[in-house]
Amino acid sequence: MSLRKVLAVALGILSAIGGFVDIGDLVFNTQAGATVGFQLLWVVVIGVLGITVYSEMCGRVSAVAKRPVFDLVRERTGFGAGLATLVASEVVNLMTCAAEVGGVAITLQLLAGLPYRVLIPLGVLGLVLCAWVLPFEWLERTFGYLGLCLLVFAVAAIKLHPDWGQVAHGFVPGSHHGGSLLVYLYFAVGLLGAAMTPYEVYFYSSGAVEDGWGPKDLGLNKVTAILGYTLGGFLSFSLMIVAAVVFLPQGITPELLGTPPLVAADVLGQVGLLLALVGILFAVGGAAIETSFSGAYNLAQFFGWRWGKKERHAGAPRFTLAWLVMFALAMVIVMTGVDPVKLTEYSVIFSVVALPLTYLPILLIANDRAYMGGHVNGKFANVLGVVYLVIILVIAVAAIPLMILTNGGQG
Amino acid sequence: MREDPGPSRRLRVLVVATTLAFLAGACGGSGPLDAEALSHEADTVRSTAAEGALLARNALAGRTTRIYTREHATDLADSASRTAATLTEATAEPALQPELQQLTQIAAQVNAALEQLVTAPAGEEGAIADQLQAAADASRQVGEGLT
Amino acid sequence: MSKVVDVDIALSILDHQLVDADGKNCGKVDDLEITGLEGDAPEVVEILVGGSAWRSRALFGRLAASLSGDAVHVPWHEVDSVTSVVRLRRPASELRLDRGDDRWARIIGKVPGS
Repeated sequence: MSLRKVLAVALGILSAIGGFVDIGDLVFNTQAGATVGFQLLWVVVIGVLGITVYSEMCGRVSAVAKRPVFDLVRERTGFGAGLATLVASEVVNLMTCAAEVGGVAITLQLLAGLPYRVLIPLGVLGLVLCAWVLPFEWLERTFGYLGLCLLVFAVAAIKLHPDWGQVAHGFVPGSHHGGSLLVYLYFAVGLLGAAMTPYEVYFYSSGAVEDGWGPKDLGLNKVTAILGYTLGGFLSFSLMIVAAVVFLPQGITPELLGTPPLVAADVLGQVGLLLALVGILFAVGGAAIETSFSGAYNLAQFFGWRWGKKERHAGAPRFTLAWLVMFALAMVIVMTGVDPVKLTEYSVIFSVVALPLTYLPILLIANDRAYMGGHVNGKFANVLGVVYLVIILVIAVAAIPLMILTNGGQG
Repeated sequence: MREDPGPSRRLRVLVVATTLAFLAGACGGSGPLDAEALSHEADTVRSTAAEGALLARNALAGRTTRIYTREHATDLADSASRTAATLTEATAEPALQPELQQLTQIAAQVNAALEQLVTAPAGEEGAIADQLQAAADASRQVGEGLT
Repeated sequence: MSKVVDVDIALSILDHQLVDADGKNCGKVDDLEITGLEGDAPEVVEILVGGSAWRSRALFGRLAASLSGDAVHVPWHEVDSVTSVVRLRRPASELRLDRGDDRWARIIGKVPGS
């Protein structure tokens, strides 16, 4: 394998790691750590494996069929089911986009001190400009690499010298001792939802077509998905561990986005604080762009419009309009003063409910020889795919009742 | 075809009844706080106070930026004032009145300390940190006494 | 190709992607007009795209149809080939399939960097 190829793969993995965390992961991993300590680390592993399995399927579909998964949903499952999937995914996309936009505004406020209300439109303008001007690959790379600043949390986690025996115990599935079982389950569901949010697979799938992947890129697809998400999972572990070591003993339950960076400051000083804030800004900002694009991809692909940054803005006008409108609507939602952290909690839980509608078509399409030829799912992918579908169905049913019963994890 | 008004009318009554019940539960309707609810409020006060103390200590040690300290302290103060307002307006079961009063006082102190932190000159965060830590410990004791 | 085979093909392409002669997306097969199904001489007349074509499709089809304009009728003889997508013989503009994009392209085209 040539050095150039290795470098390309490495860069792809790096941007995947930096792009892994969004505001949902930030909120749920931190809150879970502050509430139940290390006990839910194993759930993060399950979530990471789930997104890896399905992203690999999506990437394979895009590379072989040369069309993204959502593009095929309508013809494979019919107009009615396709429309239901579209509506559900658009509602969740919009909520998530608004949460991320709110997160960007808060982070900018913590960095620059300007009023929140001013930073909302400023932040959106900045994101729109980036999305408008930068080519697709640059977009992925810029936000991905700068999101790597979040590694400061991994450094902090190590410097805090947690009881590694206890940490290891947290990776044992089902380890739970003390405290409310319902709260534990709520966070388990939320963590899975945050790791496997629908927009991630849709964006990955359309992104593969934007990047022009073909069958020869299948190996690359597997490696990027596996390594990128696995290493990205370490960022989630770090968030949970630092919260468990610093917040739990003090009885601090994080309700503000500015709380996780405080740990970075505590352990690593001003540099740590700034790295944390910059990392959050770009991870969340990147996610805002991904959700708005995901919304536009889904809409355009359902109706058969031209789509993609590759078409240039005037070449795919309704697609361009769609992601602009998405940002505009997200901005309006945040301007109403809704708390972005609360909005994040709702958007993650609602996306859990929509997960079956997202993942079932992927499994069907990845098994369809008409699209995949000889590249259909092997036995291993199918076993994992079905296991996860069962998990997804269970948590989809349990999500909203758990949220209500535990009052959003507060017990 | 004759229209049967039965099922649709029953459905309408059910929807109205459910909505009313939901609304009644959601608004107003919060009676006197019991031990569990009061303990929950104590946890909230403790959390805000402890985080404020952590922030103040880090500000003192120069581990934060002035902007971050100011903005995050403002957000914490907002949260604290909301809790203080809730406690001021709340009533508790007669046996829990002393705890409610104590907690209300602590919450007000936390609120005041955090607002001080927003504009505190360099070097004065230490005193505020001690105040907030004391308040956090006091809330924890109130909470533990209730469960 | 016999007209019966045509009908079989047409029925299988419902909801599939339409691609014009330049390889550009131009909508989906939203509905089909087929005559003579009762008799022994069924014939595919045309493909319907967009707007009122959604009226007869599933639950929210009527709502979708009422929010958009008239459907575009694409005569069956405009179909070039049928694979995973339906290729048409002519560019979208000639078949009036570009109305939606055309309207917005002019506005968006005015912004620098398009």
